[in-house]
Amino acid sequence: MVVLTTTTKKKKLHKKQRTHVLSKVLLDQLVFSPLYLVVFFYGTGLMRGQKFDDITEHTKEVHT
Amino acid sequence: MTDTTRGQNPLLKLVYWYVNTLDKYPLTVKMITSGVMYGAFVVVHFFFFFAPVGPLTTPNSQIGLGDLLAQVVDPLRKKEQPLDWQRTGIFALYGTIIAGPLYHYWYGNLNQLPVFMMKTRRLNQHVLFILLSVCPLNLPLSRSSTSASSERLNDWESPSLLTRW
Repeated sequence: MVVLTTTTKKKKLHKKQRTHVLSKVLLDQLVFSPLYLVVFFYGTGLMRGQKFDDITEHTKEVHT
Repeated sequence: MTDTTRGQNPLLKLVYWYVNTLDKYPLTVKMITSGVMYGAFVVVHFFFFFAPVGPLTTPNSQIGLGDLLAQVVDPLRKKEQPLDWQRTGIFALYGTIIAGPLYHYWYGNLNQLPVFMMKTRRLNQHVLFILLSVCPLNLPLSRSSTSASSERLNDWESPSLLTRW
């Protein structure tokens, strides 16, 4: 009986860990990545001295 | 440097030194590393993201490589054409002041985010339940108890109710 309880606890912990990892990956890919792309294109564009609209146009032209 | 690194491979010493320094000054070391990576070496993420076909030949993939390396291996670049150091500098600066701190704070706090979300899940469910079920039911009911005619409600109250919902 004790062994059974321990196994169940371990399984639960494992599931929790999996959910934790999965949610981290999802957060990274769905939240951070799109925002980071925007920051990347506008950041490098602004550093090159381009205007906001020019960066938008250029990004649309090259990457869509 | 620790005593354990004495008499070891110089490359290993360098790795130990880097890890120790990273431990002492995490943000600064990450900023410098990111700057060097963006300026000179390979950033794998963009490489895979933007270059599904012909990784070293498409203009998109040049974003994915560290800028200097991208210029060196660019097959479209003529031999006599000088390297664009300004572009490399921009990439290095971007890596140092934007990407480095951004990665540091995002991945530093990413471990906490799912825990925080789990904790607030109950509250979120509660708010969502009220927003999606109780509000749409309650708004027409409250309006119908007033003296306004049904036509008037249809004309300009309904869109506003929908918007509010």
